[in-house]
Amino acid sequence: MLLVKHITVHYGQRQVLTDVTLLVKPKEIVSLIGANGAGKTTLLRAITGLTPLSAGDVLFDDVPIRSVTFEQVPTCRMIEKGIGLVPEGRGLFSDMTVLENLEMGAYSVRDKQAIHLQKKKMFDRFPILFERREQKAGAMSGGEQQMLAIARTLMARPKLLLLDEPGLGLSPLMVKQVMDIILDINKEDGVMVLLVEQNARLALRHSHRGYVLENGKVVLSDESTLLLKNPNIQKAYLGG
Amino acid sequence: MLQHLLNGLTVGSIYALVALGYTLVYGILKFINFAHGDVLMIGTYVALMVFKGLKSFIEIPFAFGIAVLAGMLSSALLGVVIERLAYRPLRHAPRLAPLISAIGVSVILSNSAALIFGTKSQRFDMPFNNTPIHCGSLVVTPYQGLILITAFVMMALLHVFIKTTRTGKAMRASSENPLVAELMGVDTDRMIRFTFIWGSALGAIAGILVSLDYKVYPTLGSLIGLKAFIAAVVGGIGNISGAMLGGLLLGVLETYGVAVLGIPVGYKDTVAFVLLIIILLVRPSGLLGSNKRDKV
Ligand SMILES: Nc1ncnc2c1ncn2[C@@H]1O[C@H](COP(=O)(O)OP(=O)(O)OP(=O)(O)O)[C@@H](O)[C@H]1O
Ligand SMILES: [Mg+2]
Repeated sequence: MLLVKHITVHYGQRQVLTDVTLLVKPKEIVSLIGANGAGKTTLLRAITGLTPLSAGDVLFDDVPIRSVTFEQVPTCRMIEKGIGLVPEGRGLFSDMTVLENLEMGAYSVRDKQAIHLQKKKMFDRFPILFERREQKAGAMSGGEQQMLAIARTLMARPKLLLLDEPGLGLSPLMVKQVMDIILDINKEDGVMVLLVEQNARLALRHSHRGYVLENGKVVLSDESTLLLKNPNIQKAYLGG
Repeated sequence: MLQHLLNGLTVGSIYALVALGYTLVYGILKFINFAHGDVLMIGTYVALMVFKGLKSFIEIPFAFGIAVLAGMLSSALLGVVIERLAYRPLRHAPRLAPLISAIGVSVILSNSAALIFGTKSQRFDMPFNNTPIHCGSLVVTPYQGLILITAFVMMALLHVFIKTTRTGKAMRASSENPLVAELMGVDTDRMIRFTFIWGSALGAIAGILVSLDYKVYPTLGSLIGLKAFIAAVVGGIGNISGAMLGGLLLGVLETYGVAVLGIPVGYKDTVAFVLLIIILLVRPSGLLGSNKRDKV
Protein backbone atom coordinates (compact mmCIF):
# COMPACT_ATOMS: atom_id res chain seq x y z
CA MET A 1 0.00 0.00 0.00
CA LEU A 2 1.31 3.41 -0.95
CA LEU A 3 0.32 6.37 1.16
CA VAL A 4 1.38 9.85 0.16
CA LYS A 5 0.66 12.12 3.11
CA HIS A 6 0.32 15.88 2.74
CA ILE A 7 3.43 16.37 0.63
CA THR A 8 4.70 19.68 -0.66
CA VAL A 9 7.45 20.02 -3.24
CA HIS A 10 9.39 23.05 -4.43
CA TYR A 11 11.61 23.57 -7.46
CA GLY A 12 13.76 26.38 -6.16
CA GLN A 13 11.36 29.04 -4.90
CA ARG A 14 8.45 27.70 -6.86
CA GLN A 15 5.91 25.49 -5.10
CA VAL A 16 4.94 22.73 -7.54
CA LEU A 17 2.99 20.39 -5.27
CA THR A 18 0.83 21.61 -2.40
CA ASP A 19 -0.37 19.33 0.38
CA VAL A 20 -0.93 16.34 -1.88
CA THR A 21 -2.43 13.23 -0.30
CA LEU A 22 -2.93 10.07 -2.28
CA LEU A 23 -3.48 6.39 -1.60
CA VAL A 24 -2.92 3.25 -3.65
CA LYS A 25 -4.47 0.21 -1.98
CA PRO A 26 -3.42 -3.40 -2.57
CA LYS A 27 -4.43 -4.75 -5.99
CA GLU A 28 -5.58 -1.33 -7.12
CA ILE A 29 -4.95 0.61 -10.31
CA VAL A 30 -5.12 4.31 -9.54
CA SER A 31 -4.95 6.91 -12.25
CA LEU A 32 -3.65 10.41 -11.83
CA ILE A 33 -4.90 12.90 -14.37
CA GLY A 34 -4.13 16.57 -14.84
CA ALA A 35 -3.14 19.13 -17.44
CA ASN A 36 0.42 19.70 -18.64
CA GLY A 37 2.48 21.14 -15.83
CA ALA A 38 0.02 20.13 -13.12
CA GLY A 39 2.79 18.30 -11.27
CA LYS A 40 2.12 14.65 -12.13
CA THR A 41 5.71 13.79 -12.99
CA THR A 42 6.88 15.73 -9.97
CA LEU A 43 4.68 13.59 -7.73
CA LEU A 44 6.21 10.38 -9.10
CA ARG A 45 9.69 11.87 -8.72
CA ALA A 46 8.93 12.82 -5.14
CA ILE A 47 7.72 9.30 -4.33
CA THR A 48 10.91 7.74 -5.72
CA GLY A 49 13.22 10.30 -4.18
CA LEU A 50 14.38 11.95 -7.39
CA THR A 51 13.01 15.23 -6.05
CA PRO A 52 13.14 16.14 -2.34
CA LEU A 53 10.04 16.93 -0.28
CA SER A 54 9.61 20.17 1.58
CA ALA A 55 6.82 18.81 3.76
CA GLY A 56 4.83 15.65 4.37
CA ASP A 57 5.84 12.02 4.03
CA VAL A 58 5.40 8.90 1.95
CA LEU A 59 4.74 5.47 3.42
CA PHE A 60 4.97 2.16 1.65
CA ASP A 61 3.41 -0.85 3.39
CA ASP A 62 3.23 1.34 6.51
CA VAL A 63 6.97 2.00 6.51
CA PRO A 64 8.05 5.60 5.96
CA ILE A 65 10.21 5.84 2.83
CA ARG A 66 10.26 9.59 2.25
CA SER A 67 9.91 12.27 4.81
CA VAL A 68 11.38 15.54 5.88
CA THR A 69 12.27 14.36 9.34
CA PHE A 70 13.30 10.70 8.95
CA GLU A 71 16.28 9.20 7.24
CA GLN A 72 15.04 8.57 3.70
CA VAL A 73 15.38 5.49 1.56
CA PRO A 74 17.75 6.47 -1.29
CA THR A 75 16.43 6.19 -4.85
CA CYS A 76 18.65 3.20 -5.58
CA ARG A 77 16.93 1.21 -2.80
CA MET A 78 13.37 1.87 -3.98
CA ILE A 79 13.25 -1.09 -6.30
CA GLU A 80 14.30 -3.44 -3.48
CA LYS A 81 11.41 -2.04 -1.48
CA GLY A 82 9.16 -3.00 -4.35
CA ILE A 83 8.57 0.33 -6.07
CA GLY A 84 9.33 0.52 -9.78
CA LEU A 85 9.00 3.63 -11.93
CA VAL A 86 8.67 3.64 -15.71
CA PRO A 87 9.77 7.21 -16.31
CA GLU A 88 8.31 9.78 -18.66
CA GLY A 89 9.97 9.36 -22.06
CA ARG A 90 10.84 5.75 -21.14
CA GLY A 91 14.48 6.38 -20.17
CA LEU A 92 15.82 3.32 -21.97
CA PHE A 93 19.53 2.63 -22.17
CA SER A 94 19.46 3.13 -25.91
CA ASP A 95 23.08 2.10 -26.52
CA MET A 96 22.44 -1.21 -24.80
CA THR A 97 20.64 -4.17 -26.31
CA VAL A 98 17.09 -5.15 -25.43
CA LEU A 99 18.45 -8.06 -23.44
CA GLU A 100 20.89 -5.86 -21.56
CA ASN A 101 18.10 -3.44 -20.73
CA LEU A 102 16.11 -6.30 -19.23
CA GLU A 103 19.17 -7.44 -17.30
CA MET A 104 19.58 -3.94 -15.93
CA GLY A 105 15.96 -4.08 -14.81
CA ALA A 106 16.88 -7.12 -12.75
CA TYR A 107 20.01 -5.49 -11.34
CA SER A 108 18.61 -5.55 -7.81
CA VAL A 109 17.74 -9.26 -8.03
CA ARG A 110 20.53 -11.57 -6.85
CA ASP A 111 18.84 -14.88 -7.61
CA LYS A 112 19.97 -15.96 -11.11
CA GLN A 113 17.17 -18.51 -11.38
CA ALA A 114 14.56 -15.88 -10.59
CA ILE A 115 16.01 -13.52 -13.20
CA HIS A 116 15.89 -16.26 -15.79
CA LEU A 117 12.27 -17.10 -15.02
CA GLN A 118 11.22 -13.48 -15.09
CA LYS A 119 13.00 -12.94 -18.40
CA LYS A 120 11.08 -15.86 -19.87
CA LYS A 121 7.86 -14.44 -18.54
CA MET A 122 8.57 -11.07 -20.13
CA PHE A 123 9.39 -12.69 -23.45
CA ASP A 124 6.10 -14.60 -23.27
CA ARG A 125 4.20 -11.42 -22.57
CA PHE A 126 6.11 -9.29 -25.07
CA PRO A 127 7.14 -11.62 -27.92
CA ILE A 128 8.47 -8.67 -29.90
CA LEU A 129 11.19 -8.21 -27.26
CA PHE A 130 12.35 -11.76 -27.79
CA GLU A 131 12.62 -11.21 -31.53
CA ARG A 132 14.58 -8.00 -30.97
CA ARG A 133 16.61 -9.14 -27.99
CA GLU A 134 20.02 -8.52 -29.57
CA GLN A 135 19.03 -5.19 -31.08
CA LYS A 136 19.99 -1.82 -29.57
CA ALA A 137 17.06 -0.46 -27.58
CA GLY A 138 17.39 2.90 -29.33
CA ALA A 139 16.72 1.28 -32.70
CA MET A 140 13.20 0.17 -31.83
CA SER A 141 9.88 1.83 -32.60
CA GLY A 142 8.16 3.96 -29.98
CA GLY A 143 5.68 1.23 -29.10
CA GLU A 144 8.36 -1.43 -28.79
CA GLN A 145 10.38 0.93 -26.62
CA GLN A 146 7.42 1.43 -24.31
CA MET A 147 6.96 -2.35 -24.02
CA LEU A 148 10.65 -2.67 -23.19
CA ALA A 149 10.48 0.10 -20.59
CA ILE A 150 7.59 -1.62 -18.83
CA ALA A 151 9.14 -5.09 -19.13
CA ARG A 152 12.45 -3.76 -17.80
CA THR A 153 10.81 -2.41 -14.66
CA LEU A 154 8.79 -5.61 -14.21
CA MET A 155 12.03 -7.65 -14.24
CA ALA A 156 12.49 -6.81 -10.56
CA ARG A 157 8.90 -7.92 -9.79
CA PRO A 158 7.84 -4.67 -8.11
CA LYS A 159 4.82 -4.58 -5.82
CA LEU A 160 3.94 -1.11 -7.05
CA LEU A 161 4.35 0.07 -10.62
CA LEU A 162 4.48 3.82 -11.24
CA LEU A 163 3.83 4.64 -14.90
CA ASP A 164 4.45 8.11 -16.28
CA GLU A 165 2.49 8.59 -19.51
CA PRO A 166 3.05 5.16 -21.03
CA GLY A 167 0.93 6.22 -24.00
CA LEU A 168 3.03 9.24 -24.90
CA GLY A 169 3.66 9.38 -28.63
CA LEU A 170 1.93 6.08 -29.37
CA SER A 171 -0.88 5.45 -31.80
CA PRO A 172 -4.34 5.04 -30.19
CA LEU A 173 -4.28 1.35 -30.96
CA MET A 174 -0.89 0.97 -29.34
CA VAL A 175 -1.98 2.93 -26.27
CA LYS A 176 -4.95 0.61 -25.90
CA GLN A 177 -2.63 -2.38 -26.13
CA VAL A 178 -0.32 -0.98 -23.46
CA MET A 179 -3.32 -0.32 -21.19
CA ASP A 180 -4.53 -3.88 -21.60
CA ILE A 181 -1.11 -5.18 -20.67
CA ILE A 182 -1.17 -3.01 -17.53
CA LEU A 183 -4.58 -4.44 -16.64
CA ASP A 184 -3.22 -7.97 -17.18
CA ILE A 185 -0.20 -7.40 -14.99
CA ASN A 186 -2.44 -6.01 -12.27
CA LYS A 187 -4.90 -8.89 -12.46
CA GLU A 188 -2.40 -11.73 -12.71
CA ASP A 189 0.26 -10.63 -10.28
CA GLY A 190 -1.73 -8.27 -8.11
CA VAL A 191 0.74 -5.46 -8.86
CA MET A 192 -0.50 -2.08 -7.64
CA VAL A 193 -0.39 0.57 -10.33
CA LEU A 194 -0.26 4.35 -10.16
CA LEU A 195 -0.92 5.49 -13.70
CA VAL A 196 -0.26 8.98 -15.03
CA GLU A 197 -1.83 9.41 -18.42
CA GLN A 198 -2.71 12.25 -20.76
CA ASN A 199 -5.56 10.27 -22.20
CA ALA A 200 -7.86 10.70 -19.20
CA ARG A 201 -10.74 8.70 -20.61
CA LEU A 202 -8.58 5.65 -21.27
CA ALA A 203 -6.86 5.95 -17.91
CA LEU A 204 -10.13 6.19 -16.01
CA ARG A 205 -11.60 3.26 -17.92
CA HIS A 206 -8.61 1.15 -16.97
CA SER A 207 -8.40 2.08 -13.31
CA HIS A 208 -10.33 1.57 -10.11
CA ARG A 209 -9.93 5.06 -8.72
CA GLY A 210 -8.64 8.36 -9.96
CA TYR A 211 -7.13 11.58 -8.66
CA VAL A 212 -7.32 14.91 -10.43
CA LEU A 213 -4.35 17.22 -10.02
CA GLU A 214 -4.64 20.93 -10.80
CA ASN A 215 -1.79 23.36 -10.26
CA GLY A 216 -0.13 20.99 -7.82
CA LYS A 217 -3.24 20.35 -5.75
CA VAL A 218 -5.54 17.34 -5.64
CA VAL A 219 -8.91 18.88 -6.49
CA LEU A 220 -10.92 15.67 -6.75
CA SER A 221 -10.60 11.96 -6.12
CA ASP A 222 -13.19 9.28 -6.61
CA GLU A 223 -14.07 5.93 -8.16
CA SER A 224 -13.02 6.06 -11.81
CA THR A 225 -16.53 5.21 -13.00
CA LEU A 226 -17.89 8.18 -11.09
CA LEU A 227 -15.17 10.51 -12.37
CA LEU A 228 -16.06 9.46 -15.91
CA LYS A 229 -19.62 10.59 -15.25
CA ASN A 230 -18.68 13.81 -13.47
CA PRO A 231 -19.72 16.77 -15.66
CA ASN A 232 -16.78 18.94 -14.57
CA ILE A 233 -14.31 16.21 -15.42
CA GLN A 234 -16.08 15.57 -18.72
CA LYS A 235 -15.77 19.21 -19.61
CA ALA A 236 -12.14 19.68 -18.54
CA TYR A 237 -10.53 16.34 -19.37
CA LEU A 238 -12.79 14.23 -21.51
CA GLY A 239 -13.45 16.69 -24.28
CA GLY A 240 -17.01 17.70 -23.32
CA MET B 1 55.95 1.47 -43.50
CA LEU B 2 55.02 -1.43 -41.24
CA GLN B 3 57.76 -0.35 -38.87
CA HIS B 4 56.22 3.11 -38.54
CA LEU B 5 52.85 1.55 -37.93
CA LEU B 6 54.30 -0.55 -35.13
CA ASN B 7 56.04 2.45 -33.60
CA GLY B 8 52.89 4.51 -33.95
CA LEU B 9 50.76 1.86 -32.31
CA THR B 10 53.19 1.72 -29.40
CA VAL B 11 52.86 5.43 -28.69
CA GLY B 12 49.18 5.27 -29.52
CA SER B 13 48.47 2.50 -27.05
CA ILE B 14 49.86 4.72 -24.30
CA TYR B 15 47.61 7.59 -25.40
CA ALA B 16 44.71 5.16 -25.52
CA LEU B 17 45.24 3.96 -21.95
CA VAL B 18 45.28 7.53 -20.67
CA ALA B 19 42.40 8.61 -22.92
CA LEU B 20 40.25 5.89 -21.36
CA GLY B 21 40.60 7.65 -18.02
CA TYR B 22 39.17 10.88 -19.43
CA THR B 23 36.41 9.16 -21.32
CA LEU B 24 35.26 6.87 -18.50
CA VAL B 25 34.86 9.77 -16.11
CA TYR B 26 33.31 12.03 -18.74
CA GLY B 27 30.85 9.28 -19.64
CA ILE B 28 29.31 9.25 -16.19
CA LEU B 29 30.00 12.73 -14.78
CA LYS B 30 30.06 14.77 -18.01
CA PHE B 31 33.12 16.66 -16.97
CA ILE B 32 36.81 16.61 -17.93
CA ASN B 33 38.97 15.42 -15.09
CA PHE B 34 41.91 17.74 -15.66
CA ALA B 35 43.78 16.17 -12.75
CA HIS B 36 43.97 12.81 -14.54
CA GLY B 37 47.50 13.41 -15.90
CA ASP B 38 48.76 14.26 -12.42
CA VAL B 39 47.08 11.27 -10.82
CA LEU B 40 48.93 9.00 -13.21
CA MET B 41 52.16 10.88 -12.54
CA ILE B 42 51.84 10.19 -8.80
CA GLY B 43 51.19 6.50 -9.51
CA THR B 44 54.31 6.43 -11.67
CA TYR B 45 56.38 7.94 -8.86
CA VAL B 46 55.02 5.44 -6.36
CA ALA B 47 55.92 2.61 -8.74
CA LEU B 48 59.41 4.08 -9.15
CA MET B 49 59.94 4.33 -5.39
CA VAL B 50 58.68 0.82 -4.76
CA PHE B 51 60.85 -0.52 -7.57
CA LYS B 52 63.96 1.21 -6.25
CA GLY B 53 63.23 -0.02 -2.76
CA LEU B 54 62.74 -3.62 -3.82
CA LYS B 55 65.13 -4.20 -6.68
CA SER B 56 68.15 -5.04 -4.57
CA PHE B 57 66.20 -7.55 -2.49
CA ILE B 58 64.11 -9.57 -4.90
CA GLU B 59 64.35 -10.54 -8.52
CA ILE B 60 63.84 -7.69 -10.94
CA PRO B 61 60.69 -8.94 -12.71
CA PHE B 62 58.99 -9.49 -9.35
CA ALA B 63 60.09 -6.13 -8.06
CA PHE B 64 58.77 -4.50 -11.20
CA GLY B 65 55.48 -6.38 -11.04
CA ILE B 66 54.94 -5.31 -7.44
CA ALA B 67 55.93 -1.75 -8.34
CA VAL B 68 53.34 -1.65 -11.15
CA LEU B 69 50.63 -2.96 -8.83
CA ALA B 70 51.59 -0.41 -6.19
CA GLY B 71 51.47 2.36 -8.79
CA MET B 72 48.05 1.26 -10.04
CA LEU B 73 46.66 0.96 -6.53
CA SER B 74 47.93 4.32 -5.38
CA SER B 75 46.60 6.09 -8.49
CA ALA B 76 43.25 4.34 -8.08
CA LEU B 77 43.06 5.30 -4.43
CA LEU B 78 44.08 8.87 -5.20
CA GLY B 79 41.46 9.07 -7.95
CA VAL B 80 38.73 7.88 -5.59
CA VAL B 81 39.79 10.28 -2.82
CA ILE B 82 39.89 13.24 -5.21
CA GLU B 83 36.43 12.39 -6.51
CA ARG B 84 35.10 12.21 -2.97
CA LEU B 85 36.69 15.42 -1.73
CA ALA B 86 36.97 17.68 -4.76
CA TYR B 87 34.24 16.64 -7.21
CA ARG B 88 31.33 15.08 -5.36
CA PRO B 89 30.53 18.16 -3.26
CA LEU B 90 30.26 20.08 -6.55
CA ARG B 91 28.10 17.59 -8.40
CA HIS B 92 25.06 19.84 -8.42
CA ALA B 93 27.03 23.06 -8.83
CA PRO B 94 27.30 24.83 -12.20
CA ARG B 95 29.33 22.83 -14.70
CA LEU B 96 32.34 25.10 -14.51
CA ALA B 97 32.86 24.47 -10.78
CA PRO B 98 34.17 20.88 -10.88
CA LEU B 99 36.34 21.83 -13.84
CA ILE B 100 38.02 24.59 -11.84
CA SER B 101 38.29 22.21 -8.91
CA ALA B 102 40.04 19.67 -11.17
CA ILE B 103 42.55 22.26 -12.35
CA GLY B 104 43.19 23.15 -8.70
CA VAL B 105 43.78 19.50 -7.81
CA SER B 106 46.12 19.21 -10.79
CA VAL B 107 48.24 22.14 -9.56
CA ILE B 108 48.32 20.76 -6.02
CA LEU B 109 49.41 17.32 -7.21
CA SER B 110 52.20 18.45 -9.52
CA ASN B 111 53.55 20.86 -6.92
CA SER B 112 53.39 18.23 -4.18
CA ALA B 113 55.27 15.84 -6.43
CA ALA B 114 57.96 18.44 -7.02
CA LEU B 115 58.18 19.01 -3.28
CA ILE B 116 58.27 15.36 -2.28
CA PHE B 117 60.22 13.80 -5.13
CA GLY B 118 62.22 16.82 -6.29
CA THR B 119 62.11 18.50 -9.67
CA LYS B 120 65.07 16.54 -10.97
CA SER B 121 63.97 13.73 -13.24
CA GLN B 122 64.65 10.18 -12.15
CA ARG B 123 64.95 6.90 -14.00
CA PHE B 124 63.71 3.39 -13.51
CA ASP B 125 67.17 2.15 -14.60
CA MET B 126 66.01 -1.27 -15.54
CA PRO B 127 69.07 -3.49 -15.37
CA PHE B 128 68.46 -5.19 -18.68
CA ASN B 129 69.38 -3.59 -21.93
CA ASN B 130 66.89 -2.50 -24.48
CA THR B 131 68.63 -3.97 -27.50
CA PRO B 132 66.23 -4.14 -30.43
CA ILE B 133 65.16 -7.51 -31.67
CA HIS B 134 64.90 -8.05 -35.42
CA CYS B 135 62.02 -10.05 -36.68
CA GLY B 136 62.13 -10.04 -40.45
CA SER B 137 62.31 -6.45 -41.55
CA LEU B 138 60.73 -5.25 -38.31
CA VAL B 139 62.72 -3.94 -35.38
CA VAL B 140 61.10 -4.22 -31.97
CA THR B 141 62.65 -3.14 -28.72
CA PRO B 142 61.78 -5.17 -25.61
CA TYR B 143 60.18 -2.07 -24.09
CA GLN B 144 58.04 -1.64 -27.15
CA GLY B 145 56.91 -5.24 -26.86
CA LEU B 146 56.13 -4.78 -23.18
CA ILE B 147 54.17 -1.60 -23.86
CA LEU B 148 52.14 -3.10 -26.70
CA ILE B 149 51.32 -6.33 -24.89
CA THR B 150 50.47 -4.69 -21.57
CA ALA B 151 48.38 -1.95 -23.14
CA PHE B 152 46.39 -4.28 -25.33
CA VAL B 153 45.83 -6.78 -22.53
CA MET B 154 44.55 -3.99 -20.26
CA MET B 155 42.24 -2.65 -22.96
CA ALA B 156 40.89 -6.13 -23.61
CA LEU B 157 40.30 -6.59 -19.87
CA LEU B 158 38.41 -3.33 -19.64
CA HIS B 159 36.36 -4.24 -22.68
CA VAL B 160 35.36 -7.60 -21.22
CA PHE B 161 34.58 -6.02 -17.87
CA ILE B 162 32.37 -3.32 -19.39
CA LYS B 163 30.59 -5.64 -21.79
CA THR B 164 29.97 -8.75 -19.75
CA THR B 165 30.00 -8.17 -16.01
CA ARG B 166 27.04 -7.01 -13.97
CA THR B 167 28.99 -4.04 -12.65
CA GLY B 168 30.31 -3.21 -16.10
CA LYS B 169 26.80 -3.09 -17.51
CA ALA B 170 25.68 -0.95 -14.60
CA MET B 171 28.57 1.43 -15.35
CA ARG B 172 27.42 1.76 -18.94
CA ALA B 173 23.82 2.22 -17.84
CA SER B 174 24.80 4.92 -15.36
CA SER B 175 26.77 6.76 -17.96
CA GLU B 176 23.84 6.77 -20.33
CA ASN B 177 21.14 7.61 -17.79
CA PRO B 178 22.18 7.83 -14.14
CA LEU B 179 18.74 8.56 -12.70
CA VAL B 180 17.10 5.63 -14.44
CA ALA B 181 19.99 3.40 -13.39
CA GLU B 182 19.28 4.48 -9.79
CA LEU B 183 15.66 3.45 -10.25
CA MET B 184 16.89 -0.03 -11.24
CA GLY B 185 18.84 -0.22 -8.00
CA VAL B 186 22.27 0.95 -9.20
CA ASP B 187 24.21 2.97 -6.65
CA THR B 188 25.62 5.61 -9.00
CA ASP B 189 28.17 6.83 -6.48
CA ARG B 190 29.64 3.34 -6.48
CA MET B 191 29.77 3.32 -10.29
CA ILE B 192 31.52 6.68 -10.26
CA ARG B 193 34.08 5.20 -7.87
CA PHE B 194 34.59 2.31 -10.28
CA THR B 195 35.26 4.65 -13.21
CA PHE B 196 37.88 6.51 -11.18
CA ILE B 197 39.50 3.23 -10.12
CA TRP B 198 39.71 1.91 -13.68
CA GLY B 199 40.71 5.20 -15.26
CA SER B 200 43.40 6.02 -12.73
CA ALA B 201 44.87 2.50 -12.67
CA LEU B 202 45.09 2.38 -16.47
CA GLY B 203 46.67 5.82 -16.40
CA ALA B 204 49.31 4.67 -13.91
CA ILE B 205 50.22 1.75 -16.16
CA ALA B 206 50.60 4.14 -19.07
CA GLY B 207 52.77 6.47 -16.99
CA ILE B 208 55.03 3.64 -15.90
CA LEU B 209 55.32 2.24 -19.43
CA VAL B 210 56.39 5.55 -20.99
CA SER B 211 58.84 6.22 -18.20
CA LEU B 212 60.68 2.93 -18.66
CA ASP B 213 62.50 4.17 -21.68
CA TYR B 214 62.54 7.77 -20.55
CA LYS B 215 62.33 9.33 -17.13
CA VAL B 216 60.00 10.29 -14.33
CA TYR B 217 59.41 13.98 -13.53
CA PRO B 218 56.65 16.01 -11.84
CA THR B 219 55.10 17.37 -15.04
CA LEU B 220 55.17 13.98 -16.71
CA GLY B 221 51.39 13.86 -16.78
CA SER B 222 50.81 17.21 -18.46
CA LEU B 223 51.80 16.60 -22.06
CA ILE B 224 50.70 12.99 -22.16
CA GLY B 225 47.47 14.04 -20.47
CA LEU B 226 46.85 16.74 -23.05
CA LYS B 227 47.55 14.39 -25.95
CA ALA B 228 45.35 11.70 -24.47
CA PHE B 229 42.58 14.21 -23.87
CA ILE B 230 42.77 15.15 -27.55
CA ALA B 231 42.67 11.46 -28.44
CA ALA B 232 39.56 11.01 -26.31
CA VAL B 233 37.83 13.96 -27.99
CA VAL B 234 38.87 12.75 -31.45
CA GLY B 235 37.44 9.30 -30.70
CA GLY B 236 34.26 10.78 -29.24
CA ILE B 237 34.48 11.71 -25.56
CA GLY B 238 32.49 9.37 -23.36
CA ASN B 239 32.83 6.53 -25.86
CA ILE B 240 35.16 3.76 -24.65
CA SER B 241 36.02 2.25 -28.04
CA GLY B 242 36.42 5.81 -29.29
CA ALA B 243 39.13 6.53 -26.72
CA MET B 244 41.05 3.44 -27.78
CA LEU B 245 40.66 4.26 -31.46
CA GLY B 246 41.52 7.94 -30.96
CA GLY B 247 44.66 7.09 -28.99
CA LEU B 248 45.95 4.59 -31.52
CA LEU B 249 45.10 6.88 -34.42
CA LEU B 250 46.89 9.82 -32.86
CA GLY B 251 50.01 7.73 -32.17
CA VAL B 252 50.11 6.39 -35.71
CA LEU B 253 49.51 9.80 -37.33
CA GLU B 254 52.23 11.43 -35.22
CA THR B 255 54.72 8.77 -36.19
CA TYR B 256 53.81 8.94 -39.87
CA GLY B 257 53.86 12.72 -39.71
CA VAL B 258 57.48 12.72 -38.64
CA ALA B 259 58.69 9.71 -40.61
CA VAL B 260 56.77 9.99 -43.85
CA LEU B 261 55.60 13.58 -44.21
CA GLY B 262 58.87 14.87 -42.83
CA ILE B 263 57.36 17.06 -40.14
CA PRO B 264 60.28 18.20 -37.96
CA VAL B 265 60.39 16.26 -34.69
CA GLY B 266 60.01 19.52 -32.79
CA TYR B 267 56.63 20.07 -34.43
CA LYS B 268 55.46 16.54 -33.83
CA ASP B 269 52.96 17.63 -31.20
CA THR B 270 51.20 19.92 -33.65
CA VAL B 271 49.89 16.81 -35.43
CA ALA B 272 47.60 16.18 -32.48
CA PHE B 273 46.19 19.69 -32.54
CA VAL B 274 45.70 19.73 -36.29
CA LEU B 275 43.89 16.40 -36.04
CA LEU B 276 41.74 17.78 -33.23
CA ILE B 277 40.78 20.86 -35.23
CA ILE B 278 39.92 18.83 -38.32
CA ILE B 279 37.79 16.38 -36.33
CA LEU B 280 36.01 19.14 -34.48
CA LEU B 281 35.17 20.81 -37.78
CA VAL B 282 34.06 17.68 -39.59
CA ARG B 283 32.58 15.59 -36.80
CA PRO B 284 32.14 17.65 -33.65
CA SER B 285 31.03 14.63 -31.64
CA GLY B 286 34.20 12.68 -32.50
CA LEU B 287 34.74 9.60 -34.62
CA LEU B 288 32.56 7.22 -32.62
CA GLY B 289 30.62 9.78 -30.62
CA SER B 290 26.91 9.85 -31.24
CA ASN B 291 24.44 12.70 -31.14
CA LYS B 292 21.70 10.38 -30.16
CA ARG B 293 18.25 11.56 -29.23
CA ASP B 294 15.63 9.60 -27.41
CA LYS B 295 12.97 8.49 -29.78
CA VAL B 296 9.53 9.58 -28.68
N1 LIG C 1 13.54 20.54 -12.90
C1 LIG C 1 12.61 21.52 -12.81
N2 LIG C 1 12.96 22.75 -12.39
C2 LIG C 1 12.05 23.72 -12.25
N3 LIG C 1 10.75 23.59 -12.53
C3 LIG C 1 10.32 22.40 -12.96
C4 LIG C 1 11.24 21.30 -13.11
N4 LIG C 1 10.54 20.23 -13.56
C5 LIG C 1 9.26 20.65 -13.68
N5 LIG C 1 9.12 21.93 -13.32
C6 LIG C 1 7.88 22.70 -13.29
O1 LIG C 1 7.02 22.09 -12.35
C7 LIG C 1 5.70 22.03 -12.86
C8 LIG C 1 5.19 20.61 -12.82
O2 LIG C 1 5.93 19.85 -13.74
P1 LIG C 1 5.65 18.32 -14.00
O3 LIG C 1 6.69 17.83 -14.93
O4 LIG C 1 5.48 17.62 -12.72
O5 LIG C 1 4.25 18.39 -14.75
P2 LIG C 1 3.41 17.24 -15.41
O6 LIG C 1 2.09 17.26 -14.78
O7 LIG C 1 4.14 15.97 -15.39
O8 LIG C 1 3.28 17.77 -16.89
P3 LIG C 1 3.27 16.99 -18.29
O9 LIG C 1 1.87 16.51 -18.48
O10 LIG C 1 3.62 18.04 -19.27
O11 LIG C 1 4.27 15.90 -18.20
C9 LIG C 1 5.74 22.62 -14.25
O12 LIG C 1 5.23 23.91 -14.20
C10 LIG C 1 7.18 22.64 -14.62
O13 LIG C 1 7.48 23.76 -15.40
MG1 LIG D 1 4.95 14.75 -16.82
